[in-house]
Amino acid sequence: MIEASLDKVFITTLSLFLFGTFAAAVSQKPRTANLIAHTASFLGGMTGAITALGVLLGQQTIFLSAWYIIADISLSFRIDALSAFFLLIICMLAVAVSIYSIGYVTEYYHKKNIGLLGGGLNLFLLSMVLVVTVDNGFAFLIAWELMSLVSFFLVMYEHERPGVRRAGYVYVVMTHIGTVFITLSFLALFLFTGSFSFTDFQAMSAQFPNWLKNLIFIMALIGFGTKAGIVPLHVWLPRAHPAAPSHISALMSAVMIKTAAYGLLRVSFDFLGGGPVWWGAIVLAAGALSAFIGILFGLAENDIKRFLAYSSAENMGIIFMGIGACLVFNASQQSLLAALALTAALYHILNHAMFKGTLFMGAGAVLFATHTRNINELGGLIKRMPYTAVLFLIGGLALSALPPFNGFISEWATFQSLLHLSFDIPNPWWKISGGLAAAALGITGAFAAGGIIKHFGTAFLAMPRSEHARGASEVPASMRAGMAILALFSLVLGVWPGFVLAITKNINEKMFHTHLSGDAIWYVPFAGQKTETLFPGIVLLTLLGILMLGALLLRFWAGKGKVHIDETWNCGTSLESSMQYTGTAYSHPVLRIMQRLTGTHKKVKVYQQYAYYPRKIGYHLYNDHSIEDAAYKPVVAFTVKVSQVIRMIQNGNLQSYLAYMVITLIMALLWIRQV
Amino acid sequence: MALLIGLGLLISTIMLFQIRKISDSCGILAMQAVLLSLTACVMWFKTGISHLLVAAIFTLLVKAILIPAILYYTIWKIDIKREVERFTTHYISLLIALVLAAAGYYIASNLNLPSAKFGETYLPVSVIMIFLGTFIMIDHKKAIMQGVGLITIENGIFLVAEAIAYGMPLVVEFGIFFDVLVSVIVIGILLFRIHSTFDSLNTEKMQNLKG
Repeated sequence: MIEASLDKVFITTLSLFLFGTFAAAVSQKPRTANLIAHTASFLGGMTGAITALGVLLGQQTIFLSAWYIIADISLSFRIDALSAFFLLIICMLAVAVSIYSIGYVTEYYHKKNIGLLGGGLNLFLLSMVLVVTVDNGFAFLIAWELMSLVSFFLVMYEHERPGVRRAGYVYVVMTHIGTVFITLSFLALFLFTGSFSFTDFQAMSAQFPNWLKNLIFIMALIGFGTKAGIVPLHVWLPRAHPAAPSHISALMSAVMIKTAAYGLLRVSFDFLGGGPVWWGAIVLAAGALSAFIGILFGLAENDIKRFLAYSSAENMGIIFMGIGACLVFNASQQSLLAALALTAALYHILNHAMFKGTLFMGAGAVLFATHTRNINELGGLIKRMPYTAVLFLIGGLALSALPPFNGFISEWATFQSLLHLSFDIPNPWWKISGGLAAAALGITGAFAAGGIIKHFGTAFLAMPRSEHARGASEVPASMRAGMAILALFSLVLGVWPGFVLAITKNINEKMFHTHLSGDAIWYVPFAGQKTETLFPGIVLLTLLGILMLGALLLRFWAGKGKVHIDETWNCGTSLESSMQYTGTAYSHPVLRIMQRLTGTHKKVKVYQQYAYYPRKIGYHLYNDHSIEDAAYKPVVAFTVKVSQVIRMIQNGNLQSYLAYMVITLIMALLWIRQV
Repeated sequence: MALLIGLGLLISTIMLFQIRKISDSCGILAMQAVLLSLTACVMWFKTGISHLLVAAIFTLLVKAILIPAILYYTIWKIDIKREVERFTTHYISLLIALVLAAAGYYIASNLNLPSAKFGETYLPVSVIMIFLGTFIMIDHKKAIMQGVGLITIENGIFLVAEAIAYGMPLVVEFGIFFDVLVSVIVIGILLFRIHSTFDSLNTEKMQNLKG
């Protein structure tokens, strides 16, 4: 009975998103469009979350069949535990972002068409829900393409700015390269099973020859890796995310790139049943590279949203490291450890959605209030926007993997999985690789924390550096509420990991026939596979208790302190905002150390004819991203060259066009000629 | 009889590669159309389907008289450089035409089409006419020869329709006649325009239009 009603709840979700799309797109007044679109997406998100929780906690599968797209290919939905987990993330973000957007889109009133933006948001959510719930390869590809195109149009929302158009172009090219590979891998599955249905894929792929499995996996990895922004396929991420409106970038970064993880898990575990060890090694290496390079480039950025976008590449790298470790454990028959690694990856997927959603919305709030994303023009926002500052800081602490926030737990679980690679796999190469991967994750965390300090410190602390920052004021309540919801989840998931263990239990049961007990996430590799119990909620309470007690004791011992408020001593001159440490300066030392990778170089210019009495000295710092250039320039040059050669067939000569036609005709006739 | 007509059609098509002045093509087209109308007559005689006769008469009127007349008038009116201009030399194009003819025979020899009882002889001929018509369009530089090639292709299609399918429904047949007539008139008008714009009928000059 519950199952039947869950079906209906899920149908309601789809209908609400669909209603929101069309109702918003046709409404003329911006206020009406805003209200309709975001109410629909809010309710859709709520009902979707209920469906997902019902499936995850109720240990059941929803199956729905809508209609036949063409003969034998039906649009059907199957929500198993894995689908439901991603559905839950999408819907949680949908709820928070809808509330946030009510305030955020007022920015565009009477400048842009709100109906299209709100309708696009609903369609985008709908397409993502479809991607994770459809039960058919063909429908999956359609949903995937829909998701890519809708997000492309949303990125291009402010298309009158040339930078946005360029970003959209890079995005649409990269995403289609990815789609080509995904399509190829699904077509390979189709060719050898004769069906597009996921159940047939699962049933028949066990008999596939090994080369075919490898081929399907590699193509899926490239395709989904492009969407996930894995280095070196990440180039669209730092361009598209800043160009999109902030609530859209929050959704893209928090949810859309996660659908790639869904696709990879679906193909590699569900269809192909895990693979040889080298699959895991590739995924792990790609993840480690992505995590390290992503955050290193992010550190160089002074644009908040670009930093967050690079950090998304980093976090997808961490997730891929978890998935890679899981593949390795699965290949070496360590099912409990595989479950641990998968839990770490899934946990980080959920966590990253929460804190990156908060951070992108926080960046959007800063943009809303100051109209600039460059932190070197900001400063002192904590006094003008206290709520935003606190919420941004919570997101930032979670991103830097600091307790008691959620990023800590999942990164710790990933660490443990990586260390288990060293300790529990007998091969000596893994002893080295596991340690190296853990070290990469460690330096990644350090850089992430550095990036957050840079961005929070420069944008929110000290004195305003420009009129933009001076005139800022706190954002509307709905925007703060949207951020607060996700920030609250960051805290809750950080102190209550049992909830995530409960909802990922079914996924692990299905894949590895084992599951983690409530405290298994606290395994420490050095202690073997014995249980070490620790409940972070209690630790937090204890720490808080000690702090309170300490404060009380101090007060009791020292009595009431004297507060003396005065100006900062500045050698007699008045304080200027230009005296402050800039964001560029903060990250400079790291970039100098890593200049081989980042291509950092400086240029000093003296603005005066007498070099010894300069009036002004200009100091310019450039980051060339040399490895991006090294990877992409030859490919682009080659493509252009090949295109020019191919273009020769289109020479404008009537006779040659006719010749192509007649040659084709003769070939076709020769081909059909029966011998 | 069928063999003779097929041979005549083939020879007339090959003759299109032997011409020295472009105005010669009008006479050859007229001859081709007469042979076509003869084919339709023969098919009418063999099958007794009466509208084949109507098609034969119309072929005679439109394709044997009207269209060559319009083409000849156009050539006479433009009155410049009447000699043939090709991309290849005279002998090479003849050689390619023969290769295409052989290819056409090879392809059509084993297509196993239904109801080819009376028309077996014509099928390869029509395929060859389509190939050679296209080759005329490819080989010649003068825009008017593209029109001639088009009519040859159309004649080949007509032949296959008469010989294999015993004609199309009369309405369709009329439509096609009208189509061909209009297209020839349009070709004529366009040739005047092209000539006045480029001062030549050479299609190479039209490449400059490409953006």
